[in-house]
Amino acid sequence: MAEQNSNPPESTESAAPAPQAALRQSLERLLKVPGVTLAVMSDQNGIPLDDQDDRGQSLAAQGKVLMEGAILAGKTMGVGESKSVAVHDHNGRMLVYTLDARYLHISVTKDVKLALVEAAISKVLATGS
Amino acid sequence: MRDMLQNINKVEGVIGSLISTADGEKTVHAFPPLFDGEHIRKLSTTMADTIRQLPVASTLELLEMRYQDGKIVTRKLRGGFLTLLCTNDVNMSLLNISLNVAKPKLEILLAESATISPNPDVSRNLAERMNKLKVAFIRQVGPVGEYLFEESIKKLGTAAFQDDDDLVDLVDLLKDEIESIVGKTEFINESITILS
Repeated sequence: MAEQNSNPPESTESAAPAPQAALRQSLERLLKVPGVTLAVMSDQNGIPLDDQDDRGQSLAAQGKVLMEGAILAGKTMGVGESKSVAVHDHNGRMLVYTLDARYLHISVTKDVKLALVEAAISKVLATGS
Repeated sequence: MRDMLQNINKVEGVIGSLISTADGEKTVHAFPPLFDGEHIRKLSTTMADTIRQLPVASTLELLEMRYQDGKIVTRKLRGGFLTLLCTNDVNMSLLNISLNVAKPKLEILLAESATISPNPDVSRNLAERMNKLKVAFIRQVGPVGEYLFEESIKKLGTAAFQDDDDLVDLVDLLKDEIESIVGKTEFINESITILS
């Protein structure tokens, strides 16, 4: 029993995917949403939870700056818990969501309607499909 | 500039607005009295710091922070930014149209306010009235008022003292330092006389 329990989750053959694999699956599903070019999950320090290249790490670092600013601004103005941040710039859009104690950072192209992308993202996050 | 902000506040769901220089130091605002100078200064510097740290700062158009009970929307302007506090049911499309219309005018006003050097008469007048406010404040709290007055000015930042509205913010801070209700009322009444 002890030996079985000491096995890392990746090596078991249970039906539920291991946390890392489940995370990768969720991020891959998000990438299928039209307009989404990059999706990164990070901890609250902006450190990606899965292997990310420079682009992913940069996106997570930006998201952390945005969320920290949002939390401070929100506290100042008494608007309650911070939920998400949307950034529009000349070249594209970026979304950051607070999910439990983690941040989800998503890069979106400029040529799609952001509200539709957000609706699709919400569906993926809620249903996993 | 404040008139422009008050017009933007008429969009349903907008609670208050501020316009600030890029460094967050000089602000003009139209917020309900519940939000004092300290709230405005902190919001302004937080937004300035956040924007400055973003790699997309130079190409930024709009920043929308969403919360349980509202939204903080920041529109980048040439030379600064405009920040709005909104309820969650604000119509973003209508707001964006209003901001598109207001943006060029606000940018002109922002550029003018940044380049115009302070009129010496206005500065002298402000200094005189600040001194009168100080005397009125010390009358209510005693000698410690001298220290509290300087601390309040530091809180607001010296760059903030550009016009009468900044003195109103100062009065707002000072009144909270007076414990007695009677003293507070007397100070507010005297301040109204000094500022009118």
